Amino acid sequence: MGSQVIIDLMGSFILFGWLLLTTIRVGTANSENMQTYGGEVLVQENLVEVTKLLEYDFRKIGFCLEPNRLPDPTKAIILADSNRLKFLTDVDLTGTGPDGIVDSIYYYLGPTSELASTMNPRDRILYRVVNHETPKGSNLGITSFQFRYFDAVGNAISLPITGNNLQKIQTIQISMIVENVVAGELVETAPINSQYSSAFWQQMRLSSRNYRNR
Amino acid sequence: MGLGQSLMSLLALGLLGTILLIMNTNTLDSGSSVETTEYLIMANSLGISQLERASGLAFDENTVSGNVSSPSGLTLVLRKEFGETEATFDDFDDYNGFSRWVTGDSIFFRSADFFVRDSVDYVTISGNAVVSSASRTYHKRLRVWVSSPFMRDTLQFATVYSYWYFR
Repeated sequence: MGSQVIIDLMGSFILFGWLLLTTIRVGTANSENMQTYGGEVLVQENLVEVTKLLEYDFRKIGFCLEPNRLPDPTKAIILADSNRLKFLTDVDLTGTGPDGIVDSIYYYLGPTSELASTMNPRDRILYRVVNHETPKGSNLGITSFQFRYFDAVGNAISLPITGNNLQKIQTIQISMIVENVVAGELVETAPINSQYSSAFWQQMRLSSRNYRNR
Repeated sequence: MGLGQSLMSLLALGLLGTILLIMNTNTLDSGSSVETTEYLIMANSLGISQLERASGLAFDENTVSGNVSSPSGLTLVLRKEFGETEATFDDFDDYNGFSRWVTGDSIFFRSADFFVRDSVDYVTISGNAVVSSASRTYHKRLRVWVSSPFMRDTLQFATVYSYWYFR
């Protein structure tokens, strides 16, 4: 075997090894990206589901099909805290539309300890309780759920809000962060780095459309 | 290594390079789409927030503390009153011509920068469509445009607010 052949063989081995490493690296990066983007999409879908529910419920604060049963919509909010809100409205409980009976909806965030079994240490259950039913919630990866309250001239109302101050609430700012429940584990950045996809949402809502004379 | 083998090797390397570039392009496109979608969700939220804020105000400057009995009692020129700022807007049409930047930061507003622009006009019904009205009516339309340097499209939102008297 001549020296040229040996050089050719060595060159081939080096080239093959380099190509193999490149291919493996590209495959790994591609898998990680797919995982990350899949997580992002899941997070965004969860976020949209929660926001649809919130928008539906919050636009009906102070509403009742039978107005005499809720004559003063400014009294519709009965509990307002940084991550808890309870208000009066007329809920469609049977799927046939509102029944004219005043109901209450209570939104609050559960503790992180409830979801200690999930990979994400920050996710919490968002509960939606109608009247006095057993609290129900699902884990959509919510890690932050904050309310801020503003009066008619746009000043933030300091917490805690109690008594007649509840009637001062005209707009509510809702801020929410949703994260992926399962982390994407990136091996490209050594050591293994757990990364949670997250999405942020913030919106202003009127506390009551039937607020006062216009 | 002969000339033929060298050419084959070069061709193979070129093919591999092309495949890698295509994969990178696809990955970046996917990432861009995911981020754009997130910005669109936030832009959507900002637009609705603006409609909500405006809907919480009085219908007209002349109905802030009183009532009007005919459209002629409403403001002729739709704009904010002298000295008013966004914090002191008190009626729906104060948002006519209003614009602002909502800048993203990592603490209070974890998103991109957005530009919000508003327009308010009197509207009426023509056929099945809501159209702008040259004369004063009991209905005003607020249109909100939300754009961002990070989005290709500008989102438009609209709501019609009517004068009413509570129960």
